[in-house]
Amino acid sequence: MAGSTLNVAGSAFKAFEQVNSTVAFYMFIIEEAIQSVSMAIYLSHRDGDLTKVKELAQWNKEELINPLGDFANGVGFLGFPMNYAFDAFADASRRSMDYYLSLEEE
Amino acid sequence: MGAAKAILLAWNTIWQLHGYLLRVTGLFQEVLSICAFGSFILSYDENLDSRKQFLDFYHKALKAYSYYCLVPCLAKLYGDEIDRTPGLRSFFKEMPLYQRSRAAVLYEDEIDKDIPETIATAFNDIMGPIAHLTWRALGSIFVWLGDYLDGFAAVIYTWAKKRDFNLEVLVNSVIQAYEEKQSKIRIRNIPKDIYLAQRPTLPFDWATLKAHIMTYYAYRAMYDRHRKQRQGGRLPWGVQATITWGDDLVTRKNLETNGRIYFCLLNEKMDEKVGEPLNVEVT
Repeated sequence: MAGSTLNVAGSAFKAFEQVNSTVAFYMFIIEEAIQSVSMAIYLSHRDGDLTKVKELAQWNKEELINPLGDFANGVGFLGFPMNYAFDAFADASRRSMDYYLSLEEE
Repeated sequence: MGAAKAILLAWNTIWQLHGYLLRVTGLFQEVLSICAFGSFILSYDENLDSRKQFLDFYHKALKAYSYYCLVPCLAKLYGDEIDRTPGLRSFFKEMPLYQRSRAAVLYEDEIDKDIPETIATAFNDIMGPIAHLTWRALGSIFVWLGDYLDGFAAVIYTWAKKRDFNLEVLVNSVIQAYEEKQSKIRIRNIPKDIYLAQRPTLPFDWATLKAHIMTYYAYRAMYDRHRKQRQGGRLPWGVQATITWGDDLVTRKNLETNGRIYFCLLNEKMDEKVGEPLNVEVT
């Protein structure tokens, strides 16, 4: 009886661990997507294409960064403690995009 | 205890069924990240041909991923977003399957809106929910079974595990497999929740896909600009140059066919303007 209870408890823990790592993985997927766009923004900036920089920065912020922040603060708690790391990443990325958006034509 | 065991058994079954989807999401994420990072590094390279080659492969990888995400499913769930985002619109505009699917979605949505108030709709009030539920149940089972039996996630993951695996083989295999069955792919306007039940990883697949489409177009724009600059190393004939020295206009001339401008500066002006920059504006 005790063995059976332990088995069920072990399986339940495994199930929890699976959910935890899947949620963290989902946040990682979005974080990687943000990084890719940010790299393209950096290069467009280096290349002097300010229109593209602003277009991508705005899009990155609205479509990826804000949703990551919302996800990390909502369902993301299932991926504890990684949700805190991804929330901090979303915050830092938002600031970075705000900087790009504040740039003026020379 | 029995109930707990049953729940865990159900959980393990669901987990195994969706496990492949997760792995393929990770796999494509890796493929596209390599493409993006490769393009980033190559943007420092003077060789435009290698950049072009890499960008073409990036485009192919994006196409493979959208096939895997099921193009009709993207048309249904993210069609509005695609329509309002120029980068995404350009990418999917080139895909006939997307165009057909989107047209089907818009057409059927429009028909739903225009059903007039008749006896048929009175019956529809009673029969509608029943028909809807039946359709949802049957649709879910068929769509899910169809795709699961096709086993694409499992097949793609198996390809990736092969010893001779490389990115190009994977991308080409996915494109080939989907293009062969494109004509059979359903373009019915299936309810959103059925798609999501069948492909729970879809919102995350879409986040990766759309981010990389936007990234691809940024690198592409940069490449096109650099190629134009390279081709136009010499300013085109007929361009006008305005030369000013301080506030004085020295001359306004067209470029010669050899790409040069010839003009004279008077000695007395040179003494007068010494230290002031000579400004050449090309228009």
